[in-house]
Amino acid sequence: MLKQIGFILDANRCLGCGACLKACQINHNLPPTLTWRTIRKIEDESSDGKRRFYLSSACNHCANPECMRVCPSGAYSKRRDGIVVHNSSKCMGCKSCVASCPFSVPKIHPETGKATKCLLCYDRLDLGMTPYCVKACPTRALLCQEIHSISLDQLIRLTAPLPGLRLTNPSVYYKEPRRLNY
Amino acid sequence: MGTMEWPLVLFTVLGETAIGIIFVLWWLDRAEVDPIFYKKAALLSGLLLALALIASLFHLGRPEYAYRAVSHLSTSWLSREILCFLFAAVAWLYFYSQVRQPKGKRRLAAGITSTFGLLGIFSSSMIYVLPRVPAWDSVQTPLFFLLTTGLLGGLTCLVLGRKTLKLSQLQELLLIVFTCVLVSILSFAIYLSMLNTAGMEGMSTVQFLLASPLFWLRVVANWLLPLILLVTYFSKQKTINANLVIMLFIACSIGELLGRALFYLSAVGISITALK
Repeated sequence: MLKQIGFILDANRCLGCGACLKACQINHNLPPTLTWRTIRKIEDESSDGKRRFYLSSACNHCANPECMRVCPSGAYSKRRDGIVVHNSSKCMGCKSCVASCPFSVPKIHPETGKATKCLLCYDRLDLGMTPYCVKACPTRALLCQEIHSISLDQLIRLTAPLPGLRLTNPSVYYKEPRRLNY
Repeated sequence: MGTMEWPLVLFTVLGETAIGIIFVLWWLDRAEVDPIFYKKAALLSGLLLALALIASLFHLGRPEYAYRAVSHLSTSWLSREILCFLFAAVAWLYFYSQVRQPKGKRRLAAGITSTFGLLGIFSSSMIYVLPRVPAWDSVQTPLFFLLTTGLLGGLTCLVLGRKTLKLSQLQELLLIVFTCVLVSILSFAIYLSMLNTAGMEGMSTVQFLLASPLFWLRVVANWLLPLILLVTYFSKQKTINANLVIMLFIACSIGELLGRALFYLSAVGISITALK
């Protein structure tokens, strides 16, 4: 099986503090209007109870990335460790990836006019370090792991309502948030 | 909701009109065609094609790197579109050189140019067939693009040849236009009903369209007015009035431009947020 590195977020531990988002933004010199990571507050209610949690997400480094399929200049590639890399020197800012990504991950950099996205800090991983967002997480809710090396039975993923979109096969997993019965 | 993409609106509509003109010229060339009309139409198609290609550059964040767009032909429809349009532009040069010669192989050249152009238009439409966007992800998208090609190509030739083409040729062109308008109305009705069953994003597109004054303007300009004019003409079968042709052309051009602008504006992408 091919190697696939991905994020794992324990939604029960995440405080929604935004440390991951800020660490990423500052260390990658992103302008204030651009972030590679987003944090959403999610609340839902069912007969099993309520749940309220934060979902910190960045690029899903999909097994079959739509961005890579549609890019006309071949700016996207997948490394042997599964990380989807965007080579900005090849990008011409056509916005195809922005329109096609079901997770709304690629964004247009306001200064360069080119697409940009989370690269999972592959340069740091190559040196044996962890990504900036993982390092900054105060509760260790966010981890970065080789996903085939762990049991995925108890983990869930962002899932599309349409079968066509499920085929991208995202590589980011979440520990299911608990429901509270009150 | 999508954004107003004027460079793409101009690129697609002008490009499709240009290819439509060349296709119609190829079609008309089965019988004798007035050479002055043919030359004028060929020149206009080249001008429109050039304008379309220039307009497409304004969509890019970095137009100076546009040459890189052809480097991912294996999976990217955008790469295929650019390549086909480049081939169509080169083929047009050959086409025009043949038009200028008294005994040039203009029908062959028109056939080659329109084939590349039609492939470019098909590739262009396939860029938008994305699973993420229900408003675009159907067979209707290529159909809309091809209908614009037939409609505006036919109408432009009608306007240019209204005084010089034979009555039978003008009637043939009016029939093409009438067919395009009818198919456009029917396919759009099917499109709206399909969108209503395509989840929340599809329904948002329908709601946006029905609430937009631009859409209703399009309904009048692109469908109602041409339909009334054409049905009136076909029921009377008199000689073709130049005013009818010009009115049809203006109404349909406005309608098609609005339709394409709405195509981009009404696109609602699925953003996956549900955990399972």
